[in-house]
Amino acid sequence: MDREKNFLTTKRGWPVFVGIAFAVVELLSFIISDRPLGASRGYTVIGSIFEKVFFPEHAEKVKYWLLYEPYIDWTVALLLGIITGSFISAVSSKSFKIVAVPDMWKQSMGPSKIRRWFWAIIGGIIFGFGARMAGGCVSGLMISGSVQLSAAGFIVMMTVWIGGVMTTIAFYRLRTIAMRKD
Amino acid sequence: MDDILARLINTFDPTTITSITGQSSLIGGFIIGILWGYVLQKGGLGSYNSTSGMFRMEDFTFWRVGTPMLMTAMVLLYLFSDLGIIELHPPKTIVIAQILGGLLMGAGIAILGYCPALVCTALGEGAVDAIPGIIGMVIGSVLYAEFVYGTSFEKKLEFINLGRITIPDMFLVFNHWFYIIAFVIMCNIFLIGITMYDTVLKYSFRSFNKISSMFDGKKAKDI
Repeated sequence: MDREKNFLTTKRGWPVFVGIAFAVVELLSFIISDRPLGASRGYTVIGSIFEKVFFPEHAEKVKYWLLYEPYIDWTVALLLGIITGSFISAVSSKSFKIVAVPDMWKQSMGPSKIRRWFWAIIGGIIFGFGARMAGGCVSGLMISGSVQLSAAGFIVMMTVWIGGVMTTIAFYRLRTIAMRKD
Repeated sequence: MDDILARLINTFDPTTITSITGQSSLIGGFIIGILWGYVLQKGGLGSYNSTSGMFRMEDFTFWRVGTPMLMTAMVLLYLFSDLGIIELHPPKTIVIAQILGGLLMGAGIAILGYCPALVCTALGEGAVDAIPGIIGMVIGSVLYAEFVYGTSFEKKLEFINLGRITIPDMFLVFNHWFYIIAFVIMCNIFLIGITMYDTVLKYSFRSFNKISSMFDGKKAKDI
């Protein structure tokens, strides 16, 4: 208990300070790499690499891979970096814990692991499809868009909020409100 | 087998690791990724409970982190761009596609509980259910590329394409700082309100748990 509290060992930072640090990371991304932060391009490039490696004849015909060329690029390195950084932070503050089913999901949908994995894949497919349709994801379009005062960022901010709340009510129905135990 | 391995090696371009700066540099991306993942984990954003709790109106960590982030980043980016150090890259505005895509994204977040950057944060934190999320996102992108891109449906979606436009361009205002100051004032009021509401909510949940555990005859966990 007598451990000194510094930026490595605190479990939760103060939200305002974390927000300012996030803004500095966004600025560093513009200064160092000359591009806005955005993650969903990485998943598209991984899909492109997958098709190129396993079905090379078919991948030649798909026109979308001309925009997203099958080469390991900045966003894939960014995704690996996020995993590493999060792991460093979790281990140094001793909050690393293997969790198969999250707490709130357990209270609304039961403790079944297969059910959680099934719905996670379905949710991922819907998200990936929507992100490609809009042309970016939450970080690339909503956050990086609205901080540059782009109209797209504010449109997506509204529609993500509406879609999220409506789906939450439709999907969890009577068990939407889950009592937190901590 | 050798073919597959050769094609896999072919996807790596050795010129991308020669420098730190630049749009295609892998080292720069990795460094920024480490910083970003560190910040996201410290904020407590990379957990299902905070993302899903936001849509259930129970947990406002996202808004409490997001509001200061938006206003600080807006001021910093426009300041540095006016000084000529950086160049802004606003995304394209395609109205119908972004309304539909935004609704689908919201549905995906509500079911999965993570967004693309937070999936990786959750995986680094030890949440194993991020792995099917990552697989699902790759499948979703491939589905769009295979079945939608280039069809007539996609042409209809791009009906209102405004290009890389910002709000000061749209309303022909003399200076973008006008909008930034208005946005910062709005954000501050919103932040104070949401912080007060979140604190009240947290203490009411805590007292509810204590009272309910009193009736159960068990001792409440004091955290």
